[in-house]
Amino acid sequence: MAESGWIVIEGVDPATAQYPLGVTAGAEEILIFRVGAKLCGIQRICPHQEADLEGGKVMGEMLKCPHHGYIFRFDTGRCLNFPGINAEVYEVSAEYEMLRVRRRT
Amino acid sequence: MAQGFDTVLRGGRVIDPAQSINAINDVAIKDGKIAAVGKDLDATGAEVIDTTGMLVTAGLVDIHVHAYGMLGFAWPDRVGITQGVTTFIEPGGPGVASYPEYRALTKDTLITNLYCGTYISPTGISGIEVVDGDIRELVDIPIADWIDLVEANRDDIRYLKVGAFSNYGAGVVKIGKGMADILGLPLYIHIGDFMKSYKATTTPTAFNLAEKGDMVTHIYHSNPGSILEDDGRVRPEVYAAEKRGVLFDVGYGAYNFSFVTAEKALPQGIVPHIISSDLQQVNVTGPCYSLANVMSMFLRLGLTPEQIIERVTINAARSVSLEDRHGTLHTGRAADITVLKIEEGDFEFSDTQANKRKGNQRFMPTMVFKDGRRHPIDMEIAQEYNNWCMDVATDHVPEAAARLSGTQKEFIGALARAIDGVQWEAKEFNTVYVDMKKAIELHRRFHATQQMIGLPLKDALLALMACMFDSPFTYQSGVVIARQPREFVMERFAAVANGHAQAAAAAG
Repeated sequence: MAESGWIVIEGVDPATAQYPLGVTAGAEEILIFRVGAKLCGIQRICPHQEADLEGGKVMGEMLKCPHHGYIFRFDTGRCLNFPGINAEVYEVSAEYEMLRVRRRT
Repeated sequence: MAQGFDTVLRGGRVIDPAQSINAINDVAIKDGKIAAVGKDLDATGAEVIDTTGMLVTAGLVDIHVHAYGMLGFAWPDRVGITQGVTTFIEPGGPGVASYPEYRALTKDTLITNLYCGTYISPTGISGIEVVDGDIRELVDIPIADWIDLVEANRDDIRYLKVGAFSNYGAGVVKIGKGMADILGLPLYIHIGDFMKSYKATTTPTAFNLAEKGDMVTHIYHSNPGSILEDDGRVRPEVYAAEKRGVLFDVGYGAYNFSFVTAEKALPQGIVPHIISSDLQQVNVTGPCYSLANVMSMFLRLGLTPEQIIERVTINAARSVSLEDRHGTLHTGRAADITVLKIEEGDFEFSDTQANKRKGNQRFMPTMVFKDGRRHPIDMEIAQEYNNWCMDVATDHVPEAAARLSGTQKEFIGALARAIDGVQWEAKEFNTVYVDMKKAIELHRRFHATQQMIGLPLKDALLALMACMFDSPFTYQSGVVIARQPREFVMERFAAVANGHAQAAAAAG
């Protein structure tokens, strides 16, 4: 891991990858969504009832869990319609033809 | 001879199960009332609206919409009149302590007719883990206050709600039944644990306790405490309750409706008497969306349009003893009318467990009239972020705070001093945990300060909400304070109150 906290996801070309993309960074399972022009990462398993967020719906800068509809902000991980539950969220970089992730929180 | 109607809805299929009407008819409105229902009404001088090919029904009645409080909306009309629902019932936001707050903030502020189902805990429904079977939420039950409250507000309070889930046996639901008896209200029972199982499954007790006129909601949920036995058969207590006249309500909710349960129970004869949405912040952006969407799921489940409309008009009104006001197009009644299309197409419906079903028909409200006046339909606007996202403005003081009057800012300053001696724990704004004893103490001090300053309750509540929220949300005063870090609350109150001091200094 670089000192900046960025973790390189090996073997993925960010330009050709299909999103949402499930990746593993260390012990963490992360889903990367395309959100407008950028990429955003969030923990794969919903912190509420452990549903897989892969089928989640991107709503602006938020992701809605497909199971109980809890909505998380990609920038802070805060749940907006059930405050108090927080998801791990990740910055995602596609620079230098590399996919890299870094925890936001 | 000209009848002098104001408006005539021409040529729709009028479905009014209360009057056994299901035929092509006109509906005439005069002075805000239903003036006539019949064929080829004389529309001389009236505005004529073509409803050919549409269903014309009494204004829809939804007995389960979280209009107020921590599950409520900034603009509750967006899940009411704007979606074709002319009357709804708040299912438990207010309790005996918070009822005056609901009354001041929400009751008479809407176009949609709003009535109240009070919740048995003093602040009303005020938390998720709190209502999670934790008997401590009841705190105490001031019976004399309850009697006085219901006597003074009997026109508004239509049922008493209780949750049948518990870590302490079935005592909570029994207390609820006892209180409902004392108050002369129907008991409205939430069945189904909150997505996890508690020490006691109290659903069978709930059905055994319920009497004629009591209601059981979330009838088709699939959480622990289902109406089905493990082998899929409907529990015998459910049939026995129905035989006694207990009413079954859908309460689609956020995790309270399963196609699988419905598909097993319907062929066994368990058909809901009432269809309601349980719209709240969590489900308005799907999978619930609207009462019309829940109605559409019942088309998919095999009910006829007439059966469904009966369950969202006269049955819903009758369940809360409002059939003399709502739920029918009877001549002389307020002209609350909903016009719906049954659209054909390829639609997908989801229950709250992410089970999908394809359907080829859905209800779509196209027009709505309240007291004879037409209001716009918009099925999407309720989903807008600022209508449901109760995100506390932690990084800025809401604009509304700058618009508070001098007395309102003085009140916030006095409130800060009044609660200074109360210590409470909250890491960040959350609906998961609250210390109810502290919340009640903060509630008490909020009201004492409001009375000391002599500020009307509504103005005091608006001042509190303006410290926290960008959108005009409603929330029980003590609970919304107790849910936030103490340091943040004190800083914010100081900022808002000092805004007053600075403005006064500048003026002086």
